[in-house]
Amino acid sequence: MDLPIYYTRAEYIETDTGNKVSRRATISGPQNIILGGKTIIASGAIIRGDLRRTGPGHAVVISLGRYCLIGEGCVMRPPYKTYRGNFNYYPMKIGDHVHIGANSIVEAATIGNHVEIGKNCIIGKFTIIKDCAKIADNTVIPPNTVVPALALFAGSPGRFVEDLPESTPEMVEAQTKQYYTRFQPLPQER
Amino acid sequence: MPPIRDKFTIHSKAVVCQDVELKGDITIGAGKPPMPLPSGPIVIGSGCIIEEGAIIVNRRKEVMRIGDDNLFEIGCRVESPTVGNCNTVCTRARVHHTLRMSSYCVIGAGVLVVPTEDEMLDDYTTIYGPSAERRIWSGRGKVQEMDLRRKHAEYLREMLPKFNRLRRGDGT
Amino acid sequence: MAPKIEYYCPCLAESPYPPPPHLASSSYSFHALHNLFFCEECDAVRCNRCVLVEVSGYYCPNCLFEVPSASVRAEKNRCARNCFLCPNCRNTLTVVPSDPPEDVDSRMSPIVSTTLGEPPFFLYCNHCRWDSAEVDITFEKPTGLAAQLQKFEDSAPESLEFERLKEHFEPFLRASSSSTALPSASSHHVHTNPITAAASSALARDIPGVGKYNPLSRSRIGRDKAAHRQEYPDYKSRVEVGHAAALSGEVDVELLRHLETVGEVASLEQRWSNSWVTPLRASDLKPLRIPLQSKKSKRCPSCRHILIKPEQKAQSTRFKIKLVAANYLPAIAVTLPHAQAALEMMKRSSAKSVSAAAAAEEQQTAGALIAGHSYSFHLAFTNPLYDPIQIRLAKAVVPAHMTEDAEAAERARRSTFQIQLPSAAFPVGAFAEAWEYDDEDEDMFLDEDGVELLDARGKKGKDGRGKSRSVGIVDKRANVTIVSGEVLIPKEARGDVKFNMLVSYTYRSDDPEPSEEVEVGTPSRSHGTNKAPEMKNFSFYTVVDLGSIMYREEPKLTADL
Repeated sequence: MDLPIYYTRAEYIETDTGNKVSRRATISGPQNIILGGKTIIASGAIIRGDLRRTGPGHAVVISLGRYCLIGEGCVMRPPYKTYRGNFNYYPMKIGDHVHIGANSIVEAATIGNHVEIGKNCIIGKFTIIKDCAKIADNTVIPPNTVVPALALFAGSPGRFVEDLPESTPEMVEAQTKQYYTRFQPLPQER
Repeated sequence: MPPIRDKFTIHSKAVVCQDVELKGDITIGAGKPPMPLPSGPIVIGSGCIIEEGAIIVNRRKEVMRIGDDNLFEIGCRVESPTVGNCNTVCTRARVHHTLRMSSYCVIGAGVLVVPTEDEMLDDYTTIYGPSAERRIWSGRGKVQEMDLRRKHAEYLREMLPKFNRLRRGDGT
Repeated sequence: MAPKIEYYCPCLAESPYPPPPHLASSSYSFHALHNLFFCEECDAVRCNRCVLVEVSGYYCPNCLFEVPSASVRAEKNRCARNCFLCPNCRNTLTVVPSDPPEDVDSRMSPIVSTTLGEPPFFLYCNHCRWDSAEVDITFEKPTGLAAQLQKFEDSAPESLEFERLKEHFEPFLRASSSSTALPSASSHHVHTNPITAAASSALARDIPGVGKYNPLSRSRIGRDKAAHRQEYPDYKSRVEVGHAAALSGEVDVELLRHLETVGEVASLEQRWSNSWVTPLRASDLKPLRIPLQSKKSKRCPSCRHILIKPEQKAQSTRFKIKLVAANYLPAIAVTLPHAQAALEMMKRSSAKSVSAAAAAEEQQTAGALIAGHSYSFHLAFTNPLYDPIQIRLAKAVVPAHMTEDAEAAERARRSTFQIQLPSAAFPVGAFAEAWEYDDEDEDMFLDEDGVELLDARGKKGKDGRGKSRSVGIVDKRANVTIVSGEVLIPKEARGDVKFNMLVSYTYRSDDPEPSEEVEVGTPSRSHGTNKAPEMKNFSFYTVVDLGSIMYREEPKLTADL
C-alpha cells in the first residue's frame, strides 16, 4: 500500500547483507563500525568510528543492529569522559529496528531495540534508551539520562510524557521492515 | 564587500582537518579545527575544540577573538565578536553577533540566543531550555571540566591524524 | 493530511451505534487499532478508557531498580537510591566530587589526574548547571544519598503532621475497614491483588467530616461513621493552623515585596511534583527523589479477565498475557489512489531535483478532495488470523433520533457526500509466518486464491474500462486484500469526508481460540480439516477519515485518473 521511497542507485552502496549506505554520508573509521544488515545510512549523515578507545587491538566504536535507519544529516558520535583520571571515548551500541530521524545528533551509550528517535533531536552523552522507547521530534535529552522501556520522551530537557501501547514492538518492527522494502532505487534505473 | 583574501595562520601544534572550510584571515593557536566563514579576521586561541558541523562566523569588520579552552560542540553556530576562555557552546546552540561571552559561560543544547541589543554575558552565565532561561553557575566542578577538556584535546591531537587527512599549518 | 481509519470502542455508550463522526466529542470513542485490546471471553473490543488498570510492579525510571511493593510505601513512592530530579529544570542529577583544591591558575598547570573523587560530593544538573551545594546539601560519600535526603523530608513539619494524623486514625481505620470494606470489596473487586485492594480501599474510605459520595448506602454508612466517630478522641495538631499560616504568610509578603524578577519565585512546574509544601523562593528548592513508575496489568471491565499482564522484569517489553486487538481484527489502511499517484509522480521528479517548495505546494493540492467531484478510495485489509476470513462492509446505520433534529438533518443534507462500498463479501487470505519474510515475491505463495484474484481483476477490467473507478476488489495477495470504494462530493459540500463504516467478518472457530498467540501457532493450522468448520461472525465499527473537502473552481487538476 505504501509508496516506495526512491533513491538514485549511484548514490548508495549496497552491502552483501543488504545495508545501504549513502556515498554522501561521512563514515570515519569504517573498520570500527558494525552494521547488522538491512540498515540504511542516508546522505549527509556523519558516523564517527574514528573516535575509538585508546589501547591496542581492534575496537568496535559504533555497532548498529538490523533494520536501522540513520536519517539525513544525523551525527552519530560515541560519548567520552574521564574515568579514574584517564580520558576515553566509549563505544555506542544500537539494537535492531531503530529509526533515527533527520538531523538528529546522537551521543548515546546504548539504544535498545525498536526505538524511534524523531527529527532534530539531541541525544546527550551516555544516554541509555531502553527497548521500544520513543523520542519525539526536537527533543533535547541531556547527558546521562535513562529513558525506560515503552516510554515517550519529549521537551527540553526531555521528560517522560506517556506510556506507549503494549503493541509497540510489533508496530515498530513492521514499520522498519516496511521502510526497508519501500526504500528502493528509481524504477528507471532498475 | 571587498574580495576576501585568504590568509591562514595555523600554529604548528594545531590540528585542522582537511574538510574544514576556511575563508578570510584566520589565526589558529595550538588546538583543534574551526570552520569559519568570511568578513573580518578570526583569531582562535589555544586548546579550543571545534566539533563537526560547528560554524564560526565573524559578522563584523573588527577582529573576532576567541580565547583559550573553548568547546564548540556539534552543529553549533557562533557569531559572537568576542569569546573569552573556557566557554561551552553545546550541541546545535546558536549565538547571535550581538552577544559577547566572557569566561566559563555555557550555552545549552539547541538554545538560540538573540539579544536585540549588544550584550556581554557575565562569567559563569548558563543559558538553557527552550525559552533560553538564564542562571549563574556556581563554578563548582569547573576544574574537572577543564581537565576533561584538555585531555579531550590531547586525545584528538593524537587520534585525528590517524584517521583523517589534515591541513598543514606553516607554523608560527 | 493522509486519510486514516480508527476503530470504535463501545465502552462508554449505551447505544450499540457509534457516535456521529463529525462531532468533535466523538473522537474519544475512536482509537487507532494498536491502542485497543480484545477480550476473548466477551468477544469484544476494549480500550484504555474502559479497561481496569492494576499496578503489577514499581520501578525507578532512572536507575530502573524494581522496588518491592512492600518498601514503596515506606519510601514514599520515590526512588530510595541515588536518583534525583533537578529542582530547577526537572533533569536527572548526577553525583560529582568536588574540585581539587589547587584552583588557583590551574589553567596553565599541567593536566591534573586527581579526579578520583574527593569529598564532599554534591548533586549536579548538567542541563541548567544547578548544584546541590547552592542549597547546602553535600555528601561525604557518593552512595546512599536518598537515605540522607529522606531525613530532611521526614523532618518537614508537614510530614510529621501527616504521620501524626495517620497514627491518630490508625485504630479508627482498622475498625472501619473491617466493617465497610466487606460490602464494597466483595461486589466490585473480586480479582484484585493486595496492592490494588489497599489502594482502592484507601480511596474509598470515609474521611471524618468529609461527606462520602455513595448514593446507594449513604445514610446507612453515615450512621455507622457517626457511631464510630464518637469512640475516638479529637485530634490535636502539632501546630496551630491559624498561627502557622500567619507566620508563613508574613514571610511570603515580605519576600514578594522585595522581589526583583519573577524568576525568584518558584514556578508552578517547579513545585508541582513535590509531595509537601515547597518553598516559595526558587533558590530554596531542594532536589527531589525521582517518583517511581509502575508497570500495569489490564483487565476486561465486564468479565475481569486479564488482557495485559507484563513480565516481572521492569525493562522487559514482553508480556505474559497480551490480548491486543491487532491480533484479532483485520488491520485496515485507507488510501486515496489519486493522491498517491500524484505523490509518486512528485517523488520521481523530485529525485531528479525539482524545487522542493514547488513540490510541497503541489503535494498540498494534488491529494485534495474537491467539491463537485467523485473519488475512489482504497481500503487494504490485513488478516492477522491463521484462517482466511470473509469481510462484508456496510455504512453505519444512523440511529433514528439523530435524524429527527431538523437543524442537524439540514446540515447533514447539505454536507452529504455519497459513499459507495463494495456490497459483496470478499475474502482475505490467512496469515502465515512466511508472509512476514518475503520482501518482494508474494506471487509464489498464491495457490487457490490466485483464481479469485484473476476473477476480481477480470471483473474490474470489464466494468471499469476507461475509468478505473470501480467498487470492488482491487488486489489480493497473501493476507492482504485491497477493495475500493467511491465517494461522491456534491458541489456545496463542506467539512471533512468522515464516515462510520461497519466491518463484519466471518472466521472459522472450530478452534476455541482462533489465534490466541500468533507466535505459538503454526501455519498448518489453517489447513486443518478435522471437521466441518463452524463459522462465526464478528462486527465492529470504524470511522474513515478521507480528509477535508476543498472547494475551488479548478476542474483541471482533478481530472480523474
